[in-house]
Amino acid sequence: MRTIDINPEDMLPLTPAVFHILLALTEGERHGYAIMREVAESTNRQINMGPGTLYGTIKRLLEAGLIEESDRRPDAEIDDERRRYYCLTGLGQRVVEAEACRYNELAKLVRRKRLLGKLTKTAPAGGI
Amino acid sequence: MPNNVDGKGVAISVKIYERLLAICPADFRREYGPAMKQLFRDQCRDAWSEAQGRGLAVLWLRVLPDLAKTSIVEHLTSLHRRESLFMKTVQAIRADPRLRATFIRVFALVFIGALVWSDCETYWTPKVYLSTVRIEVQKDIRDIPIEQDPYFLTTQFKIIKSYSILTNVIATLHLYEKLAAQTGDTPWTMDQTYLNLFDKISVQRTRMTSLTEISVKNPDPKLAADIANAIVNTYRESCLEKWKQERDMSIAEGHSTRRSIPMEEIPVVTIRDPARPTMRPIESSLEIFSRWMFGGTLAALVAGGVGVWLGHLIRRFSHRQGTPP
Repeated sequence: MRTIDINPEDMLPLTPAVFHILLALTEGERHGYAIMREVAESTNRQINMGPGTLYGTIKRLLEAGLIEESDRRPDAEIDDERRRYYCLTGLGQRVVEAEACRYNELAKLVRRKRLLGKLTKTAPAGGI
Repeated sequence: MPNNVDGKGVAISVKIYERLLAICPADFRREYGPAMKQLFRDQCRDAWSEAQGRGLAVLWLRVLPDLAKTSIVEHLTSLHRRESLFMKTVQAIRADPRLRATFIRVFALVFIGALVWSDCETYWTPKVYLSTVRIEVQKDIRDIPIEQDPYFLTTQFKIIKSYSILTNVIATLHLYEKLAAQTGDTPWTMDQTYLNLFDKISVQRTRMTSLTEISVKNPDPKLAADIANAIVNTYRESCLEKWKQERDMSIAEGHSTRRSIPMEEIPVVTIRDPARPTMRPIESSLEIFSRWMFGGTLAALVAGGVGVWLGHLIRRFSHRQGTPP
C-alpha cells in the first residue's frame, strides 16, 4: 500500500481548502454539500468553496490517497442516493494531524513573539 | 436539505450551470459533473431561501470564477497527463531490454526504408526547372487607374491561361510532340497537351509591385523559358489583334478612330524581364534527400513507439494466456 511508503510530513504544508476539507472529514464521512457547509461554518464563511473548487480538490485528494469514497450509507430516510460520501484514509488522518501540529507550532511561535497581544491592541473594533 | 419548493430562478440557474459544465474536460465532467450540479442546486436553494433573486445573483458572482478556474486547472492537468504517455514510452524502452530491442529493430527497418526511398526519389525523379517572365499589364487609357477596376488583372490572368492563347503556343512550339516525348509518349492531341501545359503554368502578381509574372515548370530549362516567352508574345499579339479589330469596326461605322473604341478593354503589355533558361532546379537533390530523410526519421520514431506498445500488449496478452486461472 502506498500509505506505508509516504511520509505525511512530505505533503505539508496543505492549502487552506485541502486542510479544511480534511478537517471536515475528521468527524466522519460526509457528502460534498455537507463538507462545503462544514467548512463555511467553521471559518465564519471566510472560505466559501464553489462546486468546482470542492470537487477539483476532492479529485486530487482521492488521487493522493488522503480520502476515499465510502460505501456505507446513512439512514435511507435522510440519505439521498445520488450523493457520494467521502471519508479519511489512514494516510489522510496522519496528514491532517501533522498539519494540525504544524499549525500548533506556528501558534506557539506567535504567542512567544507576543504578536497576538499587539494585534489585538491595534486591531479595529470587531477585528481579530 | 431544504424542503422548500424550488423557485423558477433556481431551476433556470441549475440548467444554465449544467450547460456551463461543458467547459470542463470530458473526463472530469463525467466523474464529477452530476455531483457538482447537485451541490450547485443545494447552494441555489440556500441562496434563494436567504435572499431570493439577490441571493442567486451573489451566488453566480462567486460560482462563475470558480467554474472558470476549475476548467483551466483540469484542462492543464489532462494536458500534462497526455504528455506523460510519451514519457511512459521512453521509460518503458529504457527499463526493458526486449522493448528496447523491438524499438531499435522497427526504427532501423523504417529508417532504412526511408533512406532507400529517398535515394530512389532523388536519382529517378527528373529535375524540374522554373522559368519566369515578368510583364507589366496596363490599361490603354492611362488616366483610369487599375484600382477602379479590381477585376482587371484577374481577368487578364484568366486570358493568359485561356485555351485560345495556350493552343497558339502549343502549335507554335510543337509542344504536342516535345511534351509527349518528355514522358516517352507518342504525340498528344491538342486537348491533352493543353491540359498538361495548363497545370505547369502559374500567373500571379509579383509581390509589392504592379508586375505580373508568368512561370512555367518543365524538365528542360530552355523549353520552360521558350514557353514562358511564347505565352507573353501570343498574349500581346492577341491584345493588339483585338485592338485592331475594334478600330476597323469603328472606322467602318464612320466614327473617328480611337475615341469610339472601348480602349479600357485593351491592355498594353510591356515585357520587363524576359524568361531565361535557369540551371537551378526547383528542388535540388539535397533538398529532396533532406525532406525525405526528415520525414523518414519522424516516421521511424513513431513506428518504433507503436512497435514498443504493440510488443508490450502482445507480451501482456501471451502472459495472461499462459497464466493458469
